[in-house]
Amino acid sequence: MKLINVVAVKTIDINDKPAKACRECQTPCKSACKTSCTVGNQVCETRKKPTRFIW
Amino acid sequence: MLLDVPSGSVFSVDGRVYDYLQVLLEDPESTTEVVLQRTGLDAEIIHEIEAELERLITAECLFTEAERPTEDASQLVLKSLCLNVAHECNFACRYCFANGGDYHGQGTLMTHDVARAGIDFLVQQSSSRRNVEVDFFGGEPLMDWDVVVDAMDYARHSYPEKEWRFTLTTNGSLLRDDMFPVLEAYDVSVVLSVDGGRKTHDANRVFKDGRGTLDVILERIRHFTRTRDDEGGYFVRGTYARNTLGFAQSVRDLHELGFKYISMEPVVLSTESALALQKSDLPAIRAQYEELISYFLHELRSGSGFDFFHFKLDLEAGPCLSKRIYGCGAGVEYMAVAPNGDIFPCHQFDGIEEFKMGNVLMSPVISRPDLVSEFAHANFLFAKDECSACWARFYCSGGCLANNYLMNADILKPYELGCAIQKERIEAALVVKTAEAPDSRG
Repeated sequence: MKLINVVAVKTIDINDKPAKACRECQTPCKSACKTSCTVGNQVCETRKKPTRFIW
Repeated sequence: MLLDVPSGSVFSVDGRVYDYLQVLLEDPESTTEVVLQRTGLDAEIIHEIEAELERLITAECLFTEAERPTEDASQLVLKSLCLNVAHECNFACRYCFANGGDYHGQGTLMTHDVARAGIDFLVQQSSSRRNVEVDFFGGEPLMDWDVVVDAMDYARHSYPEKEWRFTLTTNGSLLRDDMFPVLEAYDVSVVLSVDGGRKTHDANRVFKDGRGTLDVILERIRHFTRTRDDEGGYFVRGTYARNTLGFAQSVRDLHELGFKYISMEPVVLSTESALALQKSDLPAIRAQYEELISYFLHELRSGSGFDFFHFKLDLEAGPCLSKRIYGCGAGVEYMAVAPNGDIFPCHQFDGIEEFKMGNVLMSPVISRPDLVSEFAHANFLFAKDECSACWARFYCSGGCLANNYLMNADILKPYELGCAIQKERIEAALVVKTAEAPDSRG
């Protein structure tokens, strides 16, 4: 019997260090007058090409 | 649903697992007898639950522990600029934070020189960053269309080594057919403000004489969005306020109007405003998200799916932890330029004199490096006590500093109602992801 289904695992690297970050990805603006983007709505652009829409 | 906050692992769980964890999380010292008694489960099931949990804990994707990241702003450089090209608008939306577009000043438009100086400033500050972003905003930025086009052309031709990404936020009323190929040529992502169906939209989005605006914008906007329905590149973005709280229906109306890329935001106004959301609205807001989830999944499963911006959580390729702990970058990675060249931490601070950081026409451009440092610190997720303990911290990255200032006169003090709504929204997005996930995974 399966009581727990995995949706996604380890989506965040807990050992990541700021000095390693490229910071090339989009800058998220949480303002409601735009689309109140959060980092959760973003992708790492070295791992995946972003969709056309950006912030 | 179960979320391991530090690692971002997400699980859907059987109701019995939920009950078991509720007891254990309330009192981790609970004995087996207490768990049996309080959950009503039998010993065999509890044994199975514990075995599954143990497997996930051993795999380091549940109950993970992580060191608190340290503050390091040395990597933060300007890479995103809002060119507030118009302190003017032909609308007078009732919830506008910018006082109908003039930002409490005289209506002015940005000149070519200021826009170009802004582009120069962005490139000089962006160091080795290849990707740089410019957002055209207002007021109504299409009132200054020539400057928008000139700025994009200047950026691309003067600095071809940069990867330019342009965004424009418009009410749609001045959108013309001849603009479409230009927006396409510069690959401009476009945000179009529409609040929903006629009654909802015209309740707050009005001309200066009080007339509703939907009739004027709808066909123009639809004409434009049809050119991008296949590849995206636009979002129809609505705002819900206290008098238009039924936003699930608004999203449905926008979808039925033919839009495929939709976003819907809570208004942010000081609590004295009649249109401001109140804490007492939270149950209704939660119910709206539940209704929206049902509609979204129904449309998805029936082949009529659409994009809802806040449900676009990428659990496989999300940003790194370093990105998640430094938020929007207002005042350090992101700044806004007013028509006269004044620089502010973001467009929402535009016109607030105490937050003026400099001017793109002056030398040095930044006259208040202390403000840049202050905002660099404020952007750090763990600089805010409330954020440090919040389960949503790695999805939200610390809230909106402008909202914090508006509501609490302190950029470090989170806007409580905004946080509550943000958490509803993130939870809704995780629910959608969980519903989309095949049961067989893992």
